[in-house]
Amino acid sequence: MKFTSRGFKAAAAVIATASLLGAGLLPAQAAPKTITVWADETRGPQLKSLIDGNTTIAPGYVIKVKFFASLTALQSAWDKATAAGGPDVLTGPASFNAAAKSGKVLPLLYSKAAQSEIPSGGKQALSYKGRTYGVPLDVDTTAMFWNTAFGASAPTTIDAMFELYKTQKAAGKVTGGICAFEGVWGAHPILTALGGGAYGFTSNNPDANKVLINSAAFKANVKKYLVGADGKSNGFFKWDGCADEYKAGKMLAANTGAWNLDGINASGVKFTLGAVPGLTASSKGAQWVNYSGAWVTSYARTHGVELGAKKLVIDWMASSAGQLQMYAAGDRPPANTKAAAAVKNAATKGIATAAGTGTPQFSAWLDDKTGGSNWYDTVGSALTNMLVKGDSVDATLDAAAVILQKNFANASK
Amino acid sequence: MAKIKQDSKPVRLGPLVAKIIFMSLFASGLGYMMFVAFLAGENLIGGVLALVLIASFVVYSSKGLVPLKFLLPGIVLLAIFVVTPILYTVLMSGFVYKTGNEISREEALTQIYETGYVPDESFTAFYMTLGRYEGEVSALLTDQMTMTPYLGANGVATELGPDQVQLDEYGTAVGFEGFEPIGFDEAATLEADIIDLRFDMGEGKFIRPESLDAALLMIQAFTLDGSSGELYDSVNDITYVDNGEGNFVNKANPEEKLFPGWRAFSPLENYVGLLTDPVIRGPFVNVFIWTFSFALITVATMFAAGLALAIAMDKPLRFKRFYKSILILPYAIPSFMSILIWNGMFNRDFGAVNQLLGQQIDWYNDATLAKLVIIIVNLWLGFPYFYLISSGALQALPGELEEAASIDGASPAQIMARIKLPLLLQILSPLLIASFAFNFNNFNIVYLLTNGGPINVLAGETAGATDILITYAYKTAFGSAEQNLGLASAISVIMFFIVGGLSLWSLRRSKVLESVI
Amino acid sequence: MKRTNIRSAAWRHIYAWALILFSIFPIYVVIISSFDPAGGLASSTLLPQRFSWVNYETLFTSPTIPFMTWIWNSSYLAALNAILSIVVGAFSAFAFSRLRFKGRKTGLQTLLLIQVFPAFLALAAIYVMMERIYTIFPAIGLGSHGGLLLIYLGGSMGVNAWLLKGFIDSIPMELDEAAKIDGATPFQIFWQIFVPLSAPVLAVTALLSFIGTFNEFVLASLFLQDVNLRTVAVGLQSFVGAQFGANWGPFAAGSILASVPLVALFLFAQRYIIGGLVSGSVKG
Repeated sequence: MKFTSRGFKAAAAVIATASLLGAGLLPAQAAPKTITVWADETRGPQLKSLIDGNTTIAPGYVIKVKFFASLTALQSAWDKATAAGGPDVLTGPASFNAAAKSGKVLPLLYSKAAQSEIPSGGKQALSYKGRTYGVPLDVDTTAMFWNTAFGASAPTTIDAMFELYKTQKAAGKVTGGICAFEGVWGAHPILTALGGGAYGFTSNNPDANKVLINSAAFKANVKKYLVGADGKSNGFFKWDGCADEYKAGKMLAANTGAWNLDGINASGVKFTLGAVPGLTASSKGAQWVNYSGAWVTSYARTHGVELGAKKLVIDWMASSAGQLQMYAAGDRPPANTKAAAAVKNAATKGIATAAGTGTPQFSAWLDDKTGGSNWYDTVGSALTNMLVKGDSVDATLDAAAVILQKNFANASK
Repeated sequence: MAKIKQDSKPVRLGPLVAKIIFMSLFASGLGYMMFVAFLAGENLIGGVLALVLIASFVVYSSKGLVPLKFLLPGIVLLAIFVVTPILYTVLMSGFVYKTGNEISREEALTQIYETGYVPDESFTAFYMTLGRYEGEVSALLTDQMTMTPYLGANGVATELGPDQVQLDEYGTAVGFEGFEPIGFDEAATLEADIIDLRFDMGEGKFIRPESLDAALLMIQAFTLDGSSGELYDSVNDITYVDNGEGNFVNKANPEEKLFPGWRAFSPLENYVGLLTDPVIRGPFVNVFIWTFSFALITVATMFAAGLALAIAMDKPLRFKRFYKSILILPYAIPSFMSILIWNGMFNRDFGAVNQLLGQQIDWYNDATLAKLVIIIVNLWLGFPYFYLISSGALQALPGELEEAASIDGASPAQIMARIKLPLLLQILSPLLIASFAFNFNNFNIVYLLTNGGPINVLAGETAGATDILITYAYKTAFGSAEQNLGLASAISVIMFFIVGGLSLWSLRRSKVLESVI
Repeated sequence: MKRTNIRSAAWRHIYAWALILFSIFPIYVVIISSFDPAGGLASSTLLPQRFSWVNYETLFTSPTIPFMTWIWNSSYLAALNAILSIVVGAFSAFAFSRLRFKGRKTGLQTLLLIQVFPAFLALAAIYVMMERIYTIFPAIGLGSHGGLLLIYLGGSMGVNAWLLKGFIDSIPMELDEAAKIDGATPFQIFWQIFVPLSAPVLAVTALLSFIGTFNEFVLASLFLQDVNLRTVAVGLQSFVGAQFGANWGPFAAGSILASVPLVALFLFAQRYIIGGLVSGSVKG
């Protein structure tokens, strides 16, 4: 091989220059220790305004907030993150707690204050196999939006609502009764109103042994209220793409969350907020109570900021002071009970209080797939089979219960 | 001629200077990046950059190696951004690598230990002031309930008398003779040492820092027996053993796993699972069959429609130019948009298709209908392409064929069916095979249109009726809640062999054809 | 004789019209929807009832939908990728077609095999790689257009090399034999003979590459984490999510705006593209 001497010299000179440049331009090594917090597109900017660049919450560390274009983008990035670029603190929906199974988040020990101020449902929603991994930041729940064109207030029982639906349908005023905007997820209070739901309670604690989907009451009520003469849905309950129908004023009620307030207001439908009526005037459908949380990741240890990250999460994010600041920035009902009590806004306060009576969403249970598929897919299939395809109600619900029993049994172990 | 050659040398100084400048910029840029990488401790990236730098230096400064001069940029790009990820995927297919088994064994053990730290029943917490005592990182600890001060040093916590320590206004111990407090800024840099601090309090209990200013009284439930490799949980009295598949399991009940597990190397595990584990095999077989049928049917329908159109438009026809411009529109519109538009059009309640038919057909909830939707939409997307290539091929057929046949008394239809079609098939077969291979992996059409559904999980289905291998693998790897990257990689490797084999075979075949025609 | 001609012409027209109706049906629906002020899937009708620009206005005024930025991102990424991958691809194609060297055949077959690997299942690997690169060179790592471009380049270079090789093969050998006798170096042959001769093919390959990149959304949605860095494919896809029905109008308007330049480009270069297709490219 023969080298042209000119090329050789040029290359050698260039490499030498580059090496000098490289050595000279490198940033100084003694940078402060950075705790990187990941969030989605709504919480991110709020957190950024509160704690980005902060050096006092965790003295010795500087906090940096990075946010993503959407929750999906955050989820996708978190799924694939490694120590090279992974976050130290992760914030997001309770379903992120699934990372505990893979050891991507660290178990947390609450401080005494956090211990007493964080509701047990929130703590349990962020637990896996008996250990708590996250702190709940805020709590959210859905409500029934009753279209006041069909009465100033909603009927007090599901039976009365059903009768109203039948007459309005016969008059051609409506095409459906109650709509679950968010599909199967949002259908939970309607299922519980009819005697079903995800899981029952034993002394105020969710009980994995109480699978309600195939309870005798639920089976009977599905046949009575949801199935029509042709063995398929009678249109009283819809859960798939019915949001537009409701907004067009063609449904009595919808179950959804505050995030759809603007859209519904824009559609011109007038509504009152309440719970889904139950079988009796005193019973109500139980709303999902979903907590979003913050976790210290195992990358925090790799990055050498574990103690700082824990301090940020437990002493600020879980504290009433921290949650009140976050509330001021983002209007989300705080999970911390002391902070929730200090909130003035009635609607927000209402949601936080309702959280005490709803069904906490335990991702570990609901996402478990030991029986073949998770709660959402199982219930979705059951609804489709019974109400769209016209399969037997009893057999369908029994089959669904078999799957859910396996899931819950495994998840609660 | 020779004269021109001699003259040309001095004249070409401009390009030479340009070349040198370009090379210098390139080399300095790369060289700078290389040093940054090495200094940042990313030796792998630095090494690759160094390799690229040396390779370009060797290739472009030498007089020979002409082919490499042309190929090097392509080789580098392919090697780094295509081949490396592929090799990584193949490697991953040999690991138990799924939700619950994602980290290394060492990391998993650390995590298991972490879950083994149990606070004592009364949740005794301490205020902590970090400092150095006898040169070692130590701590002054104050019980938050009793306000009793302790000195944590050399692995032991010693109770101190109230008169031995200096207290701050809250009654927290902040000073002690021989104890030099350190500030948070310095403490943060010592985190790796602080995190390992344990101050023994007797009875198996110890104080452990929870942050830079707080500590908790705990026990450690797990002990690893170095010789037997068994892990003992003293709180629940359970012994765990390594099951060789990335988990510690209860010795008495191997089904009971301890999480997290780790990525375990088990080269055939995923492949064997695909063939033997009924839970994995069942959906895989169904998806496999549908993938093949889908690719076959969709190519057949697109080709039939396109060819018929090419034949129809083969004659001089009024408005032909107009027809043609409209008919290739589906091909010109970005396909991801068309698919999403069609997605909305097949909506049961409001879709344009049902409005047109005056029906309320639930297209997406019935397996057969959903498959039909995919075939129809793909037909829409693909027939213009087949029209274009068929008409191109028809025009390329030698005109003498037709003349000779019509002299023999054959009708135009006969000529088409007996002479032109077989020839056409022969010419187009490489393109048909390529299209089959493309549709075999046609992710967008399935993912954006039906997302693989419908799926009846009550019947035990774990894959959707319209899932093809690539969407199934994608969901397996990146699905919600539970992900199995190892299994998905194994499916990818199998797909690679199918499509790759097919492509190589068609390549050989087309070579043969070329020499025949 | 004349009768059969008419009959034969008739079925040709009928068939062509059937396919034309099929072809324009979705285009018609999307145009109608884009001008429907109600903007929801539920209110859409087959016949236009109302007319308004409101959906288009949403795209330009909504603070959460930086639509023009998305279009710009897609366009310049696709253009850069088209140009660079054609340059690199043409170099390789020339070497494979005209130069004889050891391992040429193996190289070609390897190139083909690499193309058929279901590449985006290597997503996880690509992610890990780009994440590490990000920690040292943020401009070409995860979340950056630079990084995405590099991945696109790696992916499209092979296809383009194959396409162009097919074309260069069809240029008569005599041309470069003559040039070689004149003492031209391979680089001179490349620049002075092949580039001018294959300019139309290069343009078509670049165009197809442009369209391909414009269409890509799996990698882009994984990589681009910032709203303002997204491509139009990712942006429009995010409309679909849970609220497809509600966003139908703006989505329709966005699809039209994003398609028009591409369709125009396509129709403009129609003749060349068809030539390119017949010589062996595959899109659909």
